[in-house]
Amino acid sequence: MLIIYWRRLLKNRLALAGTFFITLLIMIAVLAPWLSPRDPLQQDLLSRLQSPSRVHFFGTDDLGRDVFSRVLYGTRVSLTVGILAVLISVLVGTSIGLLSGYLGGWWDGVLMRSVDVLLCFPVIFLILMAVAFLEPSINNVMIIIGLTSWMGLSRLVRGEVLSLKERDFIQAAKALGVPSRRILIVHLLPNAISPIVVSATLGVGGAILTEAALSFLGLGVQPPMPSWGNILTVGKDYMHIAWWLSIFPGLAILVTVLAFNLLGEGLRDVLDPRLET
Amino acid sequence: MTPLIEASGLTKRYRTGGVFGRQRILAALIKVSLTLQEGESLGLVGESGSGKTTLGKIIAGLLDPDEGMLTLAGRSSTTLKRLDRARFAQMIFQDPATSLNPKLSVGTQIGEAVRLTGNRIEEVEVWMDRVGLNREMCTAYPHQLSGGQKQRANIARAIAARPRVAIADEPVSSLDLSIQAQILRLLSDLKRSLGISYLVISHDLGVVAALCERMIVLKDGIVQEEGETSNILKNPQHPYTQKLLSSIPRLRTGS
Amino acid sequence: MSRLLEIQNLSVEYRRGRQVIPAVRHVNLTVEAGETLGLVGESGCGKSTLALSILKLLPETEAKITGGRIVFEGRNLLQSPVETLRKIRGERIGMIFQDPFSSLNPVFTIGNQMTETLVWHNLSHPSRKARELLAQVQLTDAERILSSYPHQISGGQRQRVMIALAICAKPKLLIADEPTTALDVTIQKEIMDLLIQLQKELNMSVILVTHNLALVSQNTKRCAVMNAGEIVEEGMTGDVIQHPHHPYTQTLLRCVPSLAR
Repeated sequence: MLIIYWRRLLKNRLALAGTFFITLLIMIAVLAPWLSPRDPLQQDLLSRLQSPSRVHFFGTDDLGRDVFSRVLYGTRVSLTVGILAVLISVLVGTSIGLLSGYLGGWWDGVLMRSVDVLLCFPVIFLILMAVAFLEPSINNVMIIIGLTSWMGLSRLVRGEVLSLKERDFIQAAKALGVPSRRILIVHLLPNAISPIVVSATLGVGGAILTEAALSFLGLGVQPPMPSWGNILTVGKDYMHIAWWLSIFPGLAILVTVLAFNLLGEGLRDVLDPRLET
Repeated sequence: MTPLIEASGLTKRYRTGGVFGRQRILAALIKVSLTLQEGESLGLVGESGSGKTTLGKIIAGLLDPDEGMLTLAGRSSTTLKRLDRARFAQMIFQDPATSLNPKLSVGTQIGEAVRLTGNRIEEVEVWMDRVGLNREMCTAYPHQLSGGQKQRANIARAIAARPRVAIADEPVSSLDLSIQAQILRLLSDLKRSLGISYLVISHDLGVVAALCERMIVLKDGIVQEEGETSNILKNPQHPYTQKLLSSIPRLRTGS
Repeated sequence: MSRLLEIQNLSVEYRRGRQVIPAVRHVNLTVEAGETLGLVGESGCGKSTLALSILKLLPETEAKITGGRIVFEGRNLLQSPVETLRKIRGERIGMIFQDPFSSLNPVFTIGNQMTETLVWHNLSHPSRKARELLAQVQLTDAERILSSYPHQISGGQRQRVMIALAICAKPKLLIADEPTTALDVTIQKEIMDLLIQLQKELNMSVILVTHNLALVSQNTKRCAVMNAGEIVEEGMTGDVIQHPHHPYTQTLLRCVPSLAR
């Protein structure tokens, strides 16, 4: 099955574009130490707030650090947080959605009402509460975003399972005495995976934005570790004299989220074309 | 001789209308009784809403009746465990397009039936031969197969579990005419070579005529007529059966 | 007998990405006034594509008519402007489809949809006309049906409503694409009988598109057998059934189940 998906992926322009940019970003993240002209943590108080030049491509920040290098290193933060947070939410959301949809009855009721309650809280409120308990750090940010964004996915998966449950091939598997565990993992999950993958890919963009927002507020990644969000924090104070502190990290966020969105949209077509019923 | 299947007074009701609509209780089956002897095939004929599919699913163990008794090979259906039920009767589902898991290969799905019997997985290929599928199709996915091939895989999956009864729900309705004839021939051959008993559910009297020695006519959940197929077709007693027969368009050879 | 519809050398292709699939190949077909013509073939032979192309109802992004003429009442429909086609659809040529459920809007009542169509065709007294039409298609419970939504009436009743809408402007040609395939066999007979009766009452021609040879044999005077986009045999229905020339027709005939003989 994977070979078929791979072939389709290669023909889909959106997915290819997204994959290309994401690969680029991953390479930047991995090769940041070699691509950065300067140490991102190195302060140079004599060169504070300098505009972009051949020496400092993106200028310098309020402590004289090279913004270009900081943006490059910031890629690591964004990608790590984005992808791992989404992985956490996929794990939690899929498990709960699968169980809820398949078991039905009392379990379904309890799980879905809990989801409803959690969804009543504005996400930012949940996140702030969590941050209040835990100290802000990259790991905590990841976990917090992951644990506050699985609810929508669980509903999505539950919906898929509910509609799949009644399909003939699931009935046939049941009739053949296939154990429930195998039905869930081998029969249901592969059929529900398409919306999960698409939702997850699009969710990475959301997670990156949330991390940026948290870091911007000072609740996420703490300086001196560079994150696009915390570069923006500095930028907001100097917006009228140092536009480069806002524009470049902003562009980085834009390009990254766009890349994941393109891939997500492309995957939607790759995974669920009209060829299959 | 103990009949393979003995059903008496089977009744099933469905409730329609949600919380806000008027709730209505529809009877899908009303006190339906039937017997199936070992080695024979019984046809369940009816139009939409007749309850024939509901009846088939109850016998297959996919639905529970609200009232009535079902005895399978001498044992009450309520005492049978899920696996015993599975080994007794399997269902060949209606639409080959949706009755196979689109994400699993054909071989894997037939393999699950083989697993039920405890036999070795190599048997999958034997079954594929028996239903006329190329062994290479083992790793193929349903969407790579034609309608007729999908139906063959469907059949293989049901009978590879070696059930005593195979319940065929509209086995050829969604197939082209030329393929219908092939599949009916296949089912007929399998009946003879495997000694399996069929319960054939169909709106098409022709299908039942090709496969079943006895048949039951259902309308709105109630049995209208039952008996030997050849007798009923030649000499239908009940007005509904007569109407069914006369509604079938016939080839006119005159000009 | 005048020629009502003349399809000359029609070819239609489906385009999916870079793939081009010929659906109809150089088809020639005529329909006389007042006759019933059967168009028989298995799924994928192109009969529905052919039927849809008469009224240019094929999805433009996927299907392309690559050649030929469709001459209706002396006018080439393929060259006609959109306005002319709109007038012809429903008023000169009517069409009914296989699944009446998907042809009716589920959020409007039957009465609503009927009056809308009748008003569109500039027919006077739409509510009275709607009741007359329902009577013409042998629906006796007119009031209940008019106030019902499509899902509240049976499949047979829905198909009768579709037929009523298709004939409301008294078209000269009715194209019926698998009109009874989705219905129970007892209802099938009733609907076919209704179609034949309406054909006589309105003196219209009917093209019956179906995969069921027996249906064609029982209800049509002439028929054409289609396979892989081409018409392989054509003639008086009785002749085609009794003396089939083309091997495909012979195969089709062999597959007709014994009960239908």
